Amino acid sequence: MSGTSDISEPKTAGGAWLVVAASAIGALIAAFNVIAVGNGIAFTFGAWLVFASSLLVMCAALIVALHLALSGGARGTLAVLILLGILGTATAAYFLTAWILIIAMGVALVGWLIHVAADPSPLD
Amino acid sequence: MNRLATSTATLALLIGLSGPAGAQDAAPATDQPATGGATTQQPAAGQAQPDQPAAVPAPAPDDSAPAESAGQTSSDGSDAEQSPAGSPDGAAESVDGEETAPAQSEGSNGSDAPELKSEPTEGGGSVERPADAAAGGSDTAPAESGDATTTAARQPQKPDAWMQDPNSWATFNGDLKAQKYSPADEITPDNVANLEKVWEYHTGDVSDGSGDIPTSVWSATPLFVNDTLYIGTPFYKIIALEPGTGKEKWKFDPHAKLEALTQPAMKNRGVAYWQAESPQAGEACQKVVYIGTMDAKLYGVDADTGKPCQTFGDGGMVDVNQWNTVNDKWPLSLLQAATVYHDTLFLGWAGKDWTNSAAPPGTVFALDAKTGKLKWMFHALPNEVISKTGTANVWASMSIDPERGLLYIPVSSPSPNYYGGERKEKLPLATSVTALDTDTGKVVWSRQLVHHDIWDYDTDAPPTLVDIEKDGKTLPALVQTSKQGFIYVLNRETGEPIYPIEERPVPASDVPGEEASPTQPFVDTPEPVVGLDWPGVDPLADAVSFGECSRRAKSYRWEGRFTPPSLQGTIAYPPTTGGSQWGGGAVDPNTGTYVVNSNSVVQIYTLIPRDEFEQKSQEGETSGYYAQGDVPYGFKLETFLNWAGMPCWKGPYGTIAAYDLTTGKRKWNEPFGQVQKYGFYMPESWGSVTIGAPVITKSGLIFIGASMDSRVRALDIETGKVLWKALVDAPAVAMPAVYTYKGRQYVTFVAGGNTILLPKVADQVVTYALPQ
Repeated sequence: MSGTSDISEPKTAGGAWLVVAASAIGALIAAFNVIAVGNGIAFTFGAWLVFASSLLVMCAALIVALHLALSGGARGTLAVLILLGILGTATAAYFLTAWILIIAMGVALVGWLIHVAADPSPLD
Repeated sequence: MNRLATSTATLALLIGLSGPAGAQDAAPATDQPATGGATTQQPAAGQAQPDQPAAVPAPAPDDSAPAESAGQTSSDGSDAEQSPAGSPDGAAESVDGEETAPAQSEGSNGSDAPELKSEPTEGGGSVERPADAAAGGSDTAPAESGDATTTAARQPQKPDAWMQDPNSWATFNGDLKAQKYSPADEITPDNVANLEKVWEYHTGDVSDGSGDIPTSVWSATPLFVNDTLYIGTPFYKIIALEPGTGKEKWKFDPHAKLEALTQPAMKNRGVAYWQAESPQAGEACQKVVYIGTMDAKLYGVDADTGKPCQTFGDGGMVDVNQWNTVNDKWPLSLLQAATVYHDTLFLGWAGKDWTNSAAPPGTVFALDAKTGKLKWMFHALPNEVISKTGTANVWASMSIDPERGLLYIPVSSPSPNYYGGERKEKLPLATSVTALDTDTGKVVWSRQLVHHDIWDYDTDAPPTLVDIEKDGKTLPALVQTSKQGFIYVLNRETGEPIYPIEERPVPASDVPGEEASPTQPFVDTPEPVVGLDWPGVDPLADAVSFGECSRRAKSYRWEGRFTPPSLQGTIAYPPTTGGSQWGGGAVDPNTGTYVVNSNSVVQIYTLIPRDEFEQKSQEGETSGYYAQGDVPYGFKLETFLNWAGMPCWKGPYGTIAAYDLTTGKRKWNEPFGQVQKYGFYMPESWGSVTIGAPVITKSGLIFIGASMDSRVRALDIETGKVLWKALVDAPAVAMPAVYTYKGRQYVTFVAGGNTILLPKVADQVVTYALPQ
């Protein structure tokens, strides 16, 4: 049996997909915050920042969920970066008083925990 | 919630105060077009020595003069012969309910410009009045000039009845005593959380400076009187609104010059209202609304129709600049609404006192409310010195004791602001609080708050007048806030301190040519709004800057309060930004609780020898380089920030405090507002620099905007805790108006912004009330 056949039939990556979903929702919320004049943060650097970071988390989680990171080192690095992205976005959202975005990042954090604690590796 | 614990160094990099509040409330100059038309939106989801007698000017060791000796020469012909100034720029058509300014004939000055006669008054000041009035040809002339200065000789006065309506907000400060107090009690600490927005209105008069019109800075507290809400705009229009719905009744447009003639921004602090004692039905201009412009024109329009009053000045306009005849460096900008008492308008003016050494000398005008004719004008500076100095003007609002007929004026510093080596003469009325006789303009008493002011410590807020119970006596008090952070509580009949004012030694100047006063007045009770020592270097800002903050702090001069500006750089705390700014405080007259917001800002004052001085930029009076005319030193003013824009000093940067005036003790002191930078809100424990003022209601609430975070808030007066807050379009840098209309209590904020706080401006008038 080769690793290729395992990857072609990936194991379930529920945690990573939860991160993808939560960060995608987060990006939508952040995008709305950017353009919603009257919310106190529209068109500010901070609003753009969390929009971009949410997108980055989503992209990274998508790579993990689709098992596009083949090596263990790459998967580990992505896992760490996703965690930093989630925590950083949530912290920035806190100082922007973007409470719904914080909730989205909370869900993403749950997904990340599932990913590292329960999801099987695609190489298993 | 205390967010401080959660802050990180990374986020701290994003922190940095914008340029803080400024001297004459100026901000960087830029330009741009007005946005669209006015709209109204109906509900949407909530969004001398110590204890020195002061019947004469309170003298300092080096800066005072006996009233009699500080003589005043009579004005010569140059003062008596007025020349018209300013060109007419009015229009004459009314379109779609919008009233426009009257056309003015070339050379007209809105006055007959009669010959003026000058006479000295206490403290080296003088009063000019039309010669016929001085000779007794007017009821405004004093019978005996000396009588005005003795309380016993004064007759009790009668307040204007129309101003006594408890439901109204009839003046900029709510009433003439500047108490900023409303007896309304429908909104209480228990139900304030239910407040909802009932309407908002957009004037269309806003500019972010990106176009042809300078940035707008709008600090206009609306008036509610005559069943109408009256608002002045930064483009000098008057708008009359229906108070319950925000529907526009009429609008008056004077087509004012939208140029930054004296201020870096288009500014307005509201309108004034007058009405006849017994208005005659069907007769125009029995009720009048007034607005001033940056180019010194004062307009009077009928309060019911918005049409110019033909009997006021020249077809509804008085050009105040006709009296700007000494050191005429700029027009006398009428940004602060006039103070109205009986049939008289009292006017101060604003200029740009940071640019010149010789400048227009401070003058307060008293005009006839019906005709605009000059009754008298008061000068705070002796004629002997005005060839080399100027200002000591009154650019903030004033207050009046309506029963005593006394006008209390906060007098600013002389020019140039930061070097006094060429104005060493005694100027006892500069940087003072002074009481004038409303009939004669003569000084009744004056108390200098800073001697030989070289810090730009303009007395910048209207004194609050209140009777306080102390030691079993009812004392007629006056409470004066200040940039220097002291709260002076005086007897308003005599000017004598109710709580001690102590003359203490202060550091000498080490700048060649300068002679700082050896002593300055200090107040310990009530406790100053900021400490006597500067807050010290903030460890976080220092770490982020790899020790830049502490290195710079060690290089500056700091020997305590009133350390003079120096060549090496002096830590100024508080600096020209305050302390307390032009809003002043509010008082509950029933309990004697006094509330005031304040700033804790550190700036660096550096004098630069003339031959080294190159004016790199002059962004306003809050930062940048200032030529200071032709004195030996230019000046650099900078806020003490690190490379990342973080304040190098410890917070909080803004607080609000309550005092018990009967004891002088502070009841509570809380950080207020939040700094917002790049969209991020900093921890509440850091507070915010504020511009604006509180309003107190009988029910125990404080309403205030003022903070950088574009929020308006209601606080519990007993604890200082925030009970309600809402987001508005920009910092609400005016105090709100609180009034009752058809049995319902309303709170109206103007959210106009001030670029000193945040580069965010708006044109929003927003009103809150409880659900019906």
